Amino acid sequence: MEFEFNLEDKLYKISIEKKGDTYFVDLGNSIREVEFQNISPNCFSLTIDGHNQTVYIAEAENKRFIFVEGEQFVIQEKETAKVRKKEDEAGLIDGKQLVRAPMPGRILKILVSEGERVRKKQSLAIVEAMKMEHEIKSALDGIVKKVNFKENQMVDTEEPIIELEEEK
Amino acid sequence: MFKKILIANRGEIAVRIIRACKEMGIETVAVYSDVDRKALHVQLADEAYLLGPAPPLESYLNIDKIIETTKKSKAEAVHPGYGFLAENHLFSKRCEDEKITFIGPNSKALRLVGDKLESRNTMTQAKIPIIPGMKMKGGSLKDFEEQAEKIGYPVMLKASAGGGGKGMRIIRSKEDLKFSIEAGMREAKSAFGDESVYLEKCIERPRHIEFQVLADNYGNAAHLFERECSIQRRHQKIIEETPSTALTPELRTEMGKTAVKVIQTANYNNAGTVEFLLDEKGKYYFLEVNARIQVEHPITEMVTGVDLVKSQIKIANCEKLPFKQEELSQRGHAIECRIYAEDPENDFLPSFGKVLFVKEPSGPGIRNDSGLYSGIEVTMHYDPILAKLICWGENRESARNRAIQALSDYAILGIKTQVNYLKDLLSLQEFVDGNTRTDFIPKNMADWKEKNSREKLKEIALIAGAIQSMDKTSVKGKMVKATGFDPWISLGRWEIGA
Repeated sequence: MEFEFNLEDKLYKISIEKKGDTYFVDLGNSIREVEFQNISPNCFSLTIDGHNQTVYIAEAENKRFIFVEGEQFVIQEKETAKVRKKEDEAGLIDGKQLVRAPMPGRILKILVSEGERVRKKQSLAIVEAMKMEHEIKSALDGIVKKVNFKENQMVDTEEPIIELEEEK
Repeated sequence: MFKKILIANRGEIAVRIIRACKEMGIETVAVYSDVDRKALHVQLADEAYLLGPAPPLESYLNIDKIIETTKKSKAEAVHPGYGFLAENHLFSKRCEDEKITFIGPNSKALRLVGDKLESRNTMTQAKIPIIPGMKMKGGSLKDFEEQAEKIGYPVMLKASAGGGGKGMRIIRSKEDLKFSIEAGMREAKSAFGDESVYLEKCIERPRHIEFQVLADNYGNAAHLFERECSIQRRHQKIIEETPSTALTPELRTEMGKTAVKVIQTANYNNAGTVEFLLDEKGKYYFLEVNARIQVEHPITEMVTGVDLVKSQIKIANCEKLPFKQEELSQRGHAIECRIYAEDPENDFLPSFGKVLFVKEPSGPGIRNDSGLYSGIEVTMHYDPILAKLICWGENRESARNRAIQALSDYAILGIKTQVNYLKDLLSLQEFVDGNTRTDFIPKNMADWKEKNSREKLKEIALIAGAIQSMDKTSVKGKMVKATGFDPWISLGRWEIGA
């Protein structure tokens, strides 16, 4: 069987063959001989080329969280990995900044209004989560095109709170 | 002894208190908000009552509702834990009026030490060394500007009713003053219900050293030595240890005596912590009294053998302190790591969602105080602390190595935590050397990133993920590409029972 996994923004191809209780896993560079035992719903014991490994796996939606020797990895099957339009270094897409909350929370304050001119690093909004306040700042000198939220509304990390356009 | 106690808190501390009660044969009553119905403290208590919606003011800070629930459940005493109503003198007073025992200090002492400004003034009179700063709360912005100028920048903004770093900010110049004061006041209001703030001189590069004190209702008091809590992010401790590497036996004795004097000056009873700042020259200043059981109390329990939560309950039950100062000693070394739902690669922003799977470490000298379980939902409404890992060793080095090993064994899948960050921090030479001051994190851990040298582990993760996917596909009965040996094909025709 063939698998394509996304792990830390890299795509890995893996092919496996099972013979008896042994899996032969091809990661592209060499073939590993693996024994795999399911200990409990989340716990697995692997023997890879004779070396023992205990691995914990948990799944949610299309993500799989894997714990190995104190490290946590998140893998996703290729077709399910979501791609968001890439922002440049300044956080801009086509000269626009979509201002999103760094974490889901409640909008405490909106400090600008539509049509207002803003300077780079100017505070735009304050979001509160877990009793802490976080200031959201402008990445550019520009104009507030749209304000999508009101104070006290809840916001996630996907929907832009404010849309800015660069001043040319 | 009390027959039934209500625990007015949530998370790991509520769990800790419930366990102590159960061991003492006391029935327990949990309270919870909408989003905490499935929380561990609710599962463990004998009784549980809904307080209201998730926002703290409508649930865990709702005094009327908590008093009403206490009466309804016929609990004789309330343990407030830490945070929420723990240091609210109005709540403590209300309990006194309603003939409910508040497991904590009397309301008068609580009011005094809870008012940081008033306690500064009282302690000055008792000749306890304090940090120079404002003698009363600030009013107008102009007032703050003048005071800051007088004290000299950098200054520290503090919530008068504060604690736990909430509302606290360093202000380095006049330009930062307005925003910091406004934000600090809002934070103070939402955390403590009181927006008063004041300024004091910012002591640069101090160590944060606190002394645990127990005082009974008859004027007997003893300290249970220090905790060094200098490693902080956002003014909140993340690693604490005892003994401190900075104290000589002489300084320990002197600071311990001062701590007991602070408690007695305030007519304080029950468990309290006297916080000090120790500057680079070894001079110490009284900071404040934390009038509650503290997050980091387990390290004291590990080295002294005294159960602080049970002591609180016994003192509240009017029992005398069962030991004298000279009977107490420190044995070995203990380190606590606080485990938070947050992203250390992204300015420690909280991370929440469903914890898909938890495996907690265990073994000799390892204690894990936690509210976690596989499937728990971490919500944005409360402080993101998930658990505390406390490791004891016969000396500092063995406690440190044990903590690193235990952190490696701690699996929390589904949300971001700073477990690897803590592990890397404990491995730093600066930590090994005991060179811990409050600037430890900006100095040593800025721009921390998850290690990228994990190719071997990545491979293992990929192999495990692929095999698990493959097994699941075949279990579901889907056709597996016949790429190799298949016993069903080679077996040929067969019948059961033939």
